[in-house]
Amino acid sequence: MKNLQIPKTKTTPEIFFNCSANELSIKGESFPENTSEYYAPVFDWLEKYLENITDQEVVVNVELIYFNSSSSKVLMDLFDMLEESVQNGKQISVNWRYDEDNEMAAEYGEDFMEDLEHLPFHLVEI
Amino acid sequence: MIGTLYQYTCQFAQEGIFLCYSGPTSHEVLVSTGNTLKQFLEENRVDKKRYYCIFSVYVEMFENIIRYGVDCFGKDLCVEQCRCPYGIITVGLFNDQFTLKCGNIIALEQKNKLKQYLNSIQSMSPQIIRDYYREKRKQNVDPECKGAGLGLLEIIRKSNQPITFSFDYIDDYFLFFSMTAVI
Repeated sequence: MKNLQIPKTKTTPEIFFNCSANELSIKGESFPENTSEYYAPVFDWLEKYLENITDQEVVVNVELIYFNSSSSKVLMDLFDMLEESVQNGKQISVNWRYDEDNEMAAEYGEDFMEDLEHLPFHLVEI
Repeated sequence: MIGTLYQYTCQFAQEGIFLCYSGPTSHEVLVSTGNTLKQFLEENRVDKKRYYCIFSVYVEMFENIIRYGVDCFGKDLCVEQCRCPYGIITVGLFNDQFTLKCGNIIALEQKNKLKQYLNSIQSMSPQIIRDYYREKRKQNVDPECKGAGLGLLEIIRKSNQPITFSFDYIDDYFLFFSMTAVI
């Protein structure tokens, strides 16, 4: 399987899903014109990846300094997808990385954490 | 005409409005004016929390215009076909409070649903808004919504005063919808 690499733009984050290192990272800002259309290839890739992995440890690093409300919905869908895989025995954890000055990013991280029951979700101050 | 623009500018200056966009809206305009807003806030050393709250409200307001506004002042153009709806958005600083206002034209039949919804969420406490946002985010998207249906909740969440809104009569088909948020 090939890595997924999407460079950042003014309205979309840098996405680097490295399948050999089992490290997925999303970093930057997110307010694309058409959010679901923009993230569709990311979900397609992830679906295939989750089917392929067995018991290896997967780390997902999310470092978003700003995201709009439709990206917030997309993130929830993404975490739900990861949570389902964890329930099916996969070893996945998320690091929600935020700047100490960015209180909103911390608050949004807490909300995601509370909405996820099985997916290990860590708040990491950077 | 030049005199009129000077009058507008003076009026904006009196209200502390430092940014105003009026005209056809598009995602490109949102991105370019939004980046200029960010630059301005950075140069004025607005603290990070407030900075992102202001930018966030700006984006959600602008996206609402693009998604739900109708593009014309005339009844001949079809609502569904609009590409660059007319909108106006301002950002002002007065007495250390940032005020964001947005206005756009909506079709008469959009009013009731919008008004009802705004009335129901307008005075929710911060914790209730936060919980309702999470509840809605977990649900499937309403097919009538062009986004995730969270934009207005996001605006309220980022404001530190209840939002205000109004509907002004244009003609038998259209209304002017406006909303104000304070940060």
